[in-house]
Amino acid sequence: MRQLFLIGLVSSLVLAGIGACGDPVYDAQIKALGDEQPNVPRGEFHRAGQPCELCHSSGGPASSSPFTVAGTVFAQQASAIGVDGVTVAMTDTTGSSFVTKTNCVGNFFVGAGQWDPAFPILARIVKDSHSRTMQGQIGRERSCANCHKDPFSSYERLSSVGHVYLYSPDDVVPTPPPCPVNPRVGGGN
Amino acid sequence: MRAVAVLLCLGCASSPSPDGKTRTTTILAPSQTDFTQFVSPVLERRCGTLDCHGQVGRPLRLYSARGLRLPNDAGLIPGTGSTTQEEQTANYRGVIGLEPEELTRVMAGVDPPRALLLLKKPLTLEGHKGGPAIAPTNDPVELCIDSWIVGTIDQPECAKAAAFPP
Repeated sequence: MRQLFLIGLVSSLVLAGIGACGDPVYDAQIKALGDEQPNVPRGEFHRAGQPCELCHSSGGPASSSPFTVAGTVFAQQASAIGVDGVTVAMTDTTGSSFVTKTNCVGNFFVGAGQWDPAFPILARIVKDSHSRTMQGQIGRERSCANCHKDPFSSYERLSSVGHVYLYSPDDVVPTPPPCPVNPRVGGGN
Repeated sequence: MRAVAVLLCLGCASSPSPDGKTRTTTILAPSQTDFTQFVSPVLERRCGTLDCHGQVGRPLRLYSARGLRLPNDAGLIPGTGSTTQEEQTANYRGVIGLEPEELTRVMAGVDPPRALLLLKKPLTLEGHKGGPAIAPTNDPVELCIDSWIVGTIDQPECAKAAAFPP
């Protein structure tokens, strides 16, 4: 009986030690993302506008499906509605290019086996007659949302360019196609 | 004007002021004028993106029109306007202040330019989170920085290094 108690005690201490070895900065960043939206199951439509690579990378909670580049394209600067079928074209520093498309919540993602770019990379988004080209190169960030986040304070406005969007304020935004989840961020189903 | 007085913390190898309240170290530094006109645009374009040195958390912090902005009253945010004189001055101070003593040794010809973190890091001669950012030989960025340090700025190479796409 005493042996069992000792084994249990040692096991608990070892497990506690392993738990304490996590990266507190990384853990805090993931925690700050919050819980999943109700009615939006984990999968290609979830967490639109969030930094995908935080979890979808080696050592992350979604490391089984790692991405090399991922993000979300929204309709307008003042609109957090994802846009379906936007072509995302990227070219890396070696001249290698990759093209993918957004799904109906605006998410796009490049799997580790599909394209592993050598940074920096250039990016452009296109749909019908609308297009936007990044003014600068992506230095090494694999999640668009780490730089393209909506600022919450005047101080953050000095270092944020807001979310990625396709249409100008004067453009007529097409009606979104049917989608399994609401393409508006936070909209649920 | 290659001599620049930089205020450093107490305890550094330095000389006290007449009133004994501050200490200054005189260092050698390359031209601020050439930096502003030719070198800052290169660093802004090649190193100052928001995901690299355009972040407040980086020891070498770079400001630019397309990246991190200095607090300002003009409402300038990333992607608007031009890089301001204050931002270029901040970039100069950031680069000079990175390793003032080593920079002095390089300026004095004691060490080669590649002794500076400014080149060692992007060449990955020392760990660089952003990986290699300069080619091992004949990269216009290194040629531009080298020419700035020796005081004969190579304008064509600097222009080439600042071009976008790179």
